[in-house]
Amino acid sequence: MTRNKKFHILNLILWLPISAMAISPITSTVQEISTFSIDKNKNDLTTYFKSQYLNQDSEVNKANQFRVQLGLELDKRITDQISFKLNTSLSLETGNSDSLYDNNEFKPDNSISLKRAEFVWNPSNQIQITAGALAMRDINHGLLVGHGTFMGAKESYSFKSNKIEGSISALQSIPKNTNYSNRLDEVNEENPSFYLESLTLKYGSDSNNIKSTTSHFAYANLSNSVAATSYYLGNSVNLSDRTNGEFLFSYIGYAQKLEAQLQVNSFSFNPYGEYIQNTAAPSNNEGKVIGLEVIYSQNDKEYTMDFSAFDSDADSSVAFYNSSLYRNNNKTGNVLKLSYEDLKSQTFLGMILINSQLKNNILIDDKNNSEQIIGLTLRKEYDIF
Amino acid sequence: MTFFKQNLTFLIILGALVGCSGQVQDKNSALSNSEKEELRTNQDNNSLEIDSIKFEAQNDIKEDQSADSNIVSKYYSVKVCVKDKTIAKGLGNRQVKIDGETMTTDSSGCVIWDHTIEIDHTVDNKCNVFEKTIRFSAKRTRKIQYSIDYLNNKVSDLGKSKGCVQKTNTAKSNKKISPVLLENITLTYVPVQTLVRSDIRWIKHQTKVQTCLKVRMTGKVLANAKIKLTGENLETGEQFEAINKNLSTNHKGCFTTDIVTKYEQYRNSHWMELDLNIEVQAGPLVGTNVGRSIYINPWEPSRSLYGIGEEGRLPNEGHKFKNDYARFHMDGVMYIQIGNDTKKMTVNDYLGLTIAKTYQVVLNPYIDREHRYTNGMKPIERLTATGKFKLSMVILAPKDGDMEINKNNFDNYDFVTGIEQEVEVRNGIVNAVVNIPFKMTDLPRLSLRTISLFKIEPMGDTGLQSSIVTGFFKARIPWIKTNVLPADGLNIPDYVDRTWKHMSDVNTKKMLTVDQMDSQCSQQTKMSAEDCLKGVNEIKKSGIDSETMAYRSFVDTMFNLLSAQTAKMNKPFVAKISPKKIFVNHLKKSYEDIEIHNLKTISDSYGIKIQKNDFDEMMPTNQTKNFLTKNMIEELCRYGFHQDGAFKKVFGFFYTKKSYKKCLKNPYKYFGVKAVRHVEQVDGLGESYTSGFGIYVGTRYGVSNGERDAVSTSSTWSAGTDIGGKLPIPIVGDLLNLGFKAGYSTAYSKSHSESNGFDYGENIGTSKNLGVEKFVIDVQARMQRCVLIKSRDFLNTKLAIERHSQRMGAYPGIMGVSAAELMSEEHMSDEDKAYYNPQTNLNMTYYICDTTPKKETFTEAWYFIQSRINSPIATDYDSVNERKLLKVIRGNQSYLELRNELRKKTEFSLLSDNIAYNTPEDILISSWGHLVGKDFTDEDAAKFLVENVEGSFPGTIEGNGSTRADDAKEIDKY
Repeated sequence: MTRNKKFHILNLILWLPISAMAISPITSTVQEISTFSIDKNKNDLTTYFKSQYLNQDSEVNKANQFRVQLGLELDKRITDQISFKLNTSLSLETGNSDSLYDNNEFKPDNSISLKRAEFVWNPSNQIQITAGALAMRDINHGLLVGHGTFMGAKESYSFKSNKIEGSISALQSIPKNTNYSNRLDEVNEENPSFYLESLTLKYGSDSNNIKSTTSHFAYANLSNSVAATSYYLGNSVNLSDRTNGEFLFSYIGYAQKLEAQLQVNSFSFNPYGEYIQNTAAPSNNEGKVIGLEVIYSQNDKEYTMDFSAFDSDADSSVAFYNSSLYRNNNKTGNVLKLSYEDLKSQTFLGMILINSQLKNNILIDDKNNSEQIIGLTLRKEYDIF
Repeated sequence: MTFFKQNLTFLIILGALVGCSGQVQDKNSALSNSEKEELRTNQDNNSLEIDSIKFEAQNDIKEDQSADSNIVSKYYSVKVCVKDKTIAKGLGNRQVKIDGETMTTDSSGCVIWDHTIEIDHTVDNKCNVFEKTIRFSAKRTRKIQYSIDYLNNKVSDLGKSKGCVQKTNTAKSNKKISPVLLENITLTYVPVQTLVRSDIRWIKHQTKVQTCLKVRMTGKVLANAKIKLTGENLETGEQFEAINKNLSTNHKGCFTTDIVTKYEQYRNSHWMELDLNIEVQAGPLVGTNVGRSIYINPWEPSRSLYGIGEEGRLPNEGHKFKNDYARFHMDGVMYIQIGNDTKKMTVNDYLGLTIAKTYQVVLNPYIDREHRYTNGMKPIERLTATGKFKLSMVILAPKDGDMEINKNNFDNYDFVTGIEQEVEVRNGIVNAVVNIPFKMTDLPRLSLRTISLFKIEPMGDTGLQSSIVTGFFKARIPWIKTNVLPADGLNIPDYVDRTWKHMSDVNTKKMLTVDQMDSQCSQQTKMSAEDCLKGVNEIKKSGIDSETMAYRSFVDTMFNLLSAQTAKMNKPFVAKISPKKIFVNHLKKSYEDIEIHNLKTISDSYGIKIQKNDFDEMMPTNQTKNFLTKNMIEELCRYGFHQDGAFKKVFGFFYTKKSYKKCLKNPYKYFGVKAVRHVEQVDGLGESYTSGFGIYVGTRYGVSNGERDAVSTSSTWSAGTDIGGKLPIPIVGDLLNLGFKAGYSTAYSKSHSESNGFDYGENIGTSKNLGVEKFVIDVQARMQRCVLIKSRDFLNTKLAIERHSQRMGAYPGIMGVSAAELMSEEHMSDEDKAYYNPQTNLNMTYYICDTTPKKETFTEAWYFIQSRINSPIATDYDSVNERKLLKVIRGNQSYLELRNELRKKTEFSLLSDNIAYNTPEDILISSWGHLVGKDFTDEDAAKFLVENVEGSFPGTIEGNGSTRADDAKEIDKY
């Protein structure tokens, strides 16, 4: 039995009880010890408006982009145990971009995107099963996956004891793919899949704590288009043409994130560090981030400054999927984020500065390898319900 | 419980799901880390690609502006388009460095550069490989390798195909080729250039050569190019050149010229290989050469196919020659005896005469070429051109009665004489006058059966092979045309001889394989094994055996003797033993007490003073007088009749004995005398003549009628029966009883005759006539003059009476006195009795010679006497058995003695002696070996005696010389 078939059977096993539960509510006793806060009456619908300006400047890519985004967020309780979460947006963009390789991610485009559409089933306070279009931003490894939406299922088991709380989760997903293949000989390419198993442990109070997330990940059957795109983003790929390629190495490895939170008066100091290693690659397989977030809270207002330094090797993770904040792969640099958020009016104002350098010039150009990105964001939410 | 169950079930499911990522396998799991690193290393990060390469433009660059000008080089502009899969905007209008030179791509990302390729006509490589580096940036740099096939005008990216280098897989093939292609060569015979003679080796002839040239690389004709045509004749090694020194191809690349080469006129018809070379002397191909082996057959220019000049075509010889060269062919020889050339007669110091007979020899030599390709051309062709050749002729005499010489009997033949002479062939005929020397002593043999060997050969090395033929020589027939027999064994080519020698050398030792023989042969002879054993087939086919080879060797020796003979006749004859010594040897045998003196020693020893004048008186010119001069009588009588050889002096008076006075009065009662000349050296020959006459002999009777029971086979006496004469010389009794050579006319061959009892021979009287050929020559020589003096013995009366009473004791008288003398009246006189046993010095036997020789001219005569048979029908005229008398004698005295004896019908016996019991050699040595003493071996002595004893002592003259008056008398008597 191939791994792929195994995966589908698993999906079936998962989806069947979910479907059954939707029809006949499970009457189960709510445990005292609960990690998942279940608001049985929650029915949130929120729209948001977001405008963003971004300037990218490097020798190979230049962009000026203005984006307006209208989004809709829904958190709908369906039964006691099942809820549905949705997040879609409409993006309208304008600006200009120029790219030597035609791979500019900031190319103005208009799109409707599904960011999240997931059913969440909580058969108990310890167990949560999520299925649908999962928002990958929930996974706390920026070096591994960014803000994509994967179709799949996630199973979590959480536990709490005094100051320690934690969870074990497993994710089986089919990552988003631009296209399958246009190569004749690989039409029957198998579905790509992404697996992630995590152990999260948190120690401390809500305001002062330390949190560790340890994960094991594995990508399988990544498509050639993903490979081709990843080539431009820093992975080692045998490029066939502009849209097709093959990864040199598999992506199987570990990710570790450590976060801490220290509340001092109105300030919250949140140092964090992240490490990732793709054990399937012999070298250039690590990614590292270290940063400090300082939040100043005053009434309903929060002022945040987040500075981090990153270093991402060429083959630490799949560039197509990981966070563009750290400029994908084969980059080193730092990120400065400054933001203001009015929680009361649900208004967010932020600025981001990213300065990065190519680590090894695997691309065929001896241009200046540095890149600067400046972004300005304004976000406003409106609660409808 | 429900909670527990739920959680447990979930945890189990979770546990199972957690394993999902663990089941994903690394696709490179089979690789080690270092191998994985290699993947990265091998990753082609250079995305710059060569999109296309093609010619933008191309031109032929010619030697000049004319339409048919030859192409020198080719111009190409190459357009290379590049692309980069990673660059969306393409590479148009960008700066790019091509081998460091900055250029700009066009809108399609293409860049153009150019090449001018000179056509290298000398190498089999139409492919040029180039490499350029196209650099947009350090990482976006690519080397492009491309080939240009300038013959087919094709450009190929070697990164994508092998282009024009695909065959050799290397950039350059250095195989040298001829840049010029030679079309078929037409060869035409042009008549002979040299005056053709038959005695030259090389003939020059002309060949017309027509062909065309093409340039290999371009495939076009090589027009208007100055060329030089040279060549080498591989057979002769001759280098030649076209007659036209300013040769050029025409606008079609063709030319016509002539070459003059030579060929060996006597090689047999075959294809001759010539290497032809054409050098281009101007234009783009200057210095290049093209050549071909061509074949011509100038021996048969009338063949429909004279020359082969096509590429790859080889002639088919079709016929394997036994010999490379043609051979003489003869089928008949005619000779006409003209006569004796008296001016060419020679005499040696032993007074051996060699006469010269003049013959006209006519023969038609042909050329045997074995095979001709052309119909109507016969392999045996007549020699038509003039030329000089060497003609050799050897005459051999059989020792036995052999008819024909062959390999089984050749050792029964003796060399008699021969000639070698330059002759000229005119219109195929040799017509020459030759002088054949004949030794007088050989004449008897020539009268019998003889064999002639003719050999005609080129004067120099013309390649023509000599030919030896055998025929019969009839010295007695003045005109004959004899059909000759070519003897295969005698005409073996040298290579067969060589092979034979080697085979007999090697094969006698051990049986060897062919390979072993080959290698041994080539090692020993330092020639190729093929040449060495070339003659094996010939030996098998022709049945050549050791007898054949010995026969051949024998004949070679015979021809070599001709040279020796000529040398001998031209050189002064150096006598090994002087004629005087020969005579003295004989005297010593006859008289044990003889003393040899000269004028001085006889005077010193005995006071006998003989003067030079005495010799002059005894031996006047051309005469010999056996008498004593007055001085000699006085000296001999004085010494003989006095005790101490001198007169006694009594009271101052000389006292003479009565006997002394008697001696003076009648000296010949007391002394015998004989005057003799010995040749010391023949200085020259004066006048000479020959004559012939017959002698009437009448019926002869044999002294004995003994029966002969000889087994007469083919091995009969070669020596033949001959008359032997016991001819007493008057006065000195049997002193010099040489008579004729003891039954000899011919050589020392062995006897094969078996005879029972005595053979007294037969009468010569089948004919009543004897033919005599006479040769008379004035011999100018320095001569030793000598005189033999022997005192006569005294008679013992008593014995005389006894002998008288016994009367017919029939044996010769004792003490050297012949019976006839003994019984004469004179011997019985009283006076004789008175001197019985006196006290005297009369016991003297002296041979006294003059101290110095005297130059004299003596007219000496030689006679060849033979019996004649009128009708040779029933008998074998040439057989030795049928020729009873064949005799050579020298000197008038000997001839007259013979003639006298022949005329004494009843008193003379013809004794043939019993030589049949012994070998002739033995007889000769035992009878006459003492003449030469121990200076010779038996064999040499026999030869010497046979050659020099002609009824006289060698080099010794007795009696008077010949005069014309004598001849007149002979004719009268006849």
